[in-house]
Amino acid sequence: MLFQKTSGLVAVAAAAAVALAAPAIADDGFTLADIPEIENKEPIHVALEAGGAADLIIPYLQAFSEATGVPVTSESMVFATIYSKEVVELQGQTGAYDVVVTETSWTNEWRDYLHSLNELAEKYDPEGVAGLQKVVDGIDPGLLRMASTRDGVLVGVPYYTYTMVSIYREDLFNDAGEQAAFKERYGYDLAPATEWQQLVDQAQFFTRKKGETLRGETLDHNFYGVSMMAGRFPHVQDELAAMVWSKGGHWASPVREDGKLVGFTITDKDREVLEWAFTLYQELMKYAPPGSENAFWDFATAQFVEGNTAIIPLMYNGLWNWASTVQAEVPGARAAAAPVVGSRPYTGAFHFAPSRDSGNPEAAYWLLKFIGSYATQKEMIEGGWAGTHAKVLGEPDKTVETNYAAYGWIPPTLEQWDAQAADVDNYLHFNSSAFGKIYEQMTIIGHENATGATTPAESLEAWETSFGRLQKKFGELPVQ
Amino acid sequence: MSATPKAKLFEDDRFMKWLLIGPLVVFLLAFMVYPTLYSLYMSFTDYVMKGDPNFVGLDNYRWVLSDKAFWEALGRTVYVLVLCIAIELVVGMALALLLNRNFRGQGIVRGLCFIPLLVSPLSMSLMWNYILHIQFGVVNTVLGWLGIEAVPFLSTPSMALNTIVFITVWQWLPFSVFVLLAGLKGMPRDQFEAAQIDGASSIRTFFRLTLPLLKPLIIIIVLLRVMWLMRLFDPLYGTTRGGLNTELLDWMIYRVSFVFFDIGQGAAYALFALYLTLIVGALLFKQLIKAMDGR
Repeated sequence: MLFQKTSGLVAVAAAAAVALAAPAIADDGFTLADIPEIENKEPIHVALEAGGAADLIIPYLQAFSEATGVPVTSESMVFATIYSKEVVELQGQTGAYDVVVTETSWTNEWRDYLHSLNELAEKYDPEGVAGLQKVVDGIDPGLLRMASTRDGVLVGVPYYTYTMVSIYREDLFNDAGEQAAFKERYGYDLAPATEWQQLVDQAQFFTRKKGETLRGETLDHNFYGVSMMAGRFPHVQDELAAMVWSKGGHWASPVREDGKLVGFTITDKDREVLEWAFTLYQELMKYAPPGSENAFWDFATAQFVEGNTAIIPLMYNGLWNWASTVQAEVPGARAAAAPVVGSRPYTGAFHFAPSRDSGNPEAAYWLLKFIGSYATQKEMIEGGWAGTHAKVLGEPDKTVETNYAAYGWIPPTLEQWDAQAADVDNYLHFNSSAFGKIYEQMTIIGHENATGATTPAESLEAWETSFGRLQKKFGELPVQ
Repeated sequence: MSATPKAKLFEDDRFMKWLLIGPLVVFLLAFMVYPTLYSLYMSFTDYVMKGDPNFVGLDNYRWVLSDKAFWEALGRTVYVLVLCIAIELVVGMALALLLNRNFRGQGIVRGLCFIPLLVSPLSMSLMWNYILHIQFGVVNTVLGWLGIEAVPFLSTPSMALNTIVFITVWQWLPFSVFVLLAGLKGMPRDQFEAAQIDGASSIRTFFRLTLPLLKPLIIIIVLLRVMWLMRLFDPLYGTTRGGLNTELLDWMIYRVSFVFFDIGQGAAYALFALYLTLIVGALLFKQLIKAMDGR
């Protein structure tokens, strides 16, 4: 009996030890103290996106500088200018930036400007490639693929993700009156949409005029089903991409021979899906607030937070912090996040990549390793940062219950990363070396479609024509 | 005592002219002529910021002339240009006439009128974007209090371009006002007194005397505004970014040259815009000289 009790206690203790050790398994153990003496003390200059995200990372740059003795300076730029500014410096081989901030869809375009991280690891890391691998292993594999060239050369460490999630008013979805009314009208239960038609139904259902009731209360303003980002900004393209990918379509499909990418083609299925997505977008715009035609993420989120919309069907996870404040703005309101319909959202990240023109690639390498490490990412994520370290994000304490505002976006993000991981390799975004330009063109086409300036058929035609021209002019692989 | 050769040189008018104008000529050659000629060269190439430029003849110009988006952008630019100049001249004249009268607090009013010119154009466009926003903007909030339906200033294709015109006029109206006011202040009094003695009405005096005397200044305003409006960029940056049917020529040139980095094609667009500006500018300049000569 005593033996049984003792063995039982041992088993519990062992289980507890394993549980306690679990984070240690995920932990790569890398800290600033592990950086060997960097011989080259030449200062390094880091490009950053301006805004809250940049502000959060600056203390880590300072900490790196203090620990290594390598001065680190940074330059924050608004997203609209980052691409142009960095391309000029990279192409001009000015060496202005030792570390460039790279949107994952620019990776292939910039590959001639960037170092292979494995090569840097072999050169500077006493642990070699294994030392680097140990750190990046924690980062989501899909994001790592995006920070790699189409040939699989890792050139950057993703440090901040903007994977889209669906954010909705949980209080409305849980309201018995709304549930009954919805079921009566559409014949099925009100729940986060898993089909696009459900989303359209919900958008229509929640669109109400001033004076009508919502959750049993009379509205003192018009209320709308969905927040959309239809302005001429990159976000409209991201929304459309989520729709296209959810149906197994592509903006352009990869053509492979013996596993090697040899070109792109817009298949009949792609055409069908693209036209459907353009149509769906126009349909959703009927239930979006006025001003959505010129909106990007800030106005779209503000509409939700101010209690003007019920759902943001496609919003970057980094905006969850703000969106979740709806409960402070609207009495009785509460936000929740779910995977986007089809679980194939625009999934992207900023990654830091060392420029080939850097005067100090050694320090650049160590800075990247430090930013991507478990300890740094953990601290950042716990500080409200949309980090890329899947192992940190998957820790049992990262739940809505423990920290609603900081972690609400995590479960749907992890679910989508898993669902999407196998598809990422086939997306045009992460294979075309002309994508910086193509992205801009997609934005224009998406915006024109969203505002009704072009029909879905015309939008498709515009896409086919411009993609062929841009890929031919700026890309390396042909359009077949 | 005869002058030294050095002193003689400085007494030579031709030498002195070139000496004084020399730095400017060097500056213009380095920063105006060379870049323009280099752009001209680039416009005949397929340079895209990668590899070497290859000569493609007139391909880029053929593209420009057949590009629907270019003609649409040019059409919008001309629309904005004509509307802005017309409003700025008419309203500017009215305000200049008002400010030319003596009234208490005129210094303060003049100072306030000048403020828009001092605001950074980029901040100004961002500021108006928020002020005019259909949901959160202060203008529509006030209209809502008055029971007036919200106006989609920057959210419909039919309104957005006119809002861009409004923003531009708001910033540049003071320029016309103060140039015209300076002209009014410098007018010869005797001619107006003679007109008054002859019993000319104020409208007749305005059209037969004030306006003709202001003609050189009006041409200067039109000339400068044509040149500036052909390059209108900032009001789009903080508002529509060329969306909602507002893409103007300069935004298009920026997009092609500095987002797509299609330097060859961007240079062709830019030079086409330059040729147009030069033609219009030359015609206006001729008119200006005529007006200044009193012909």
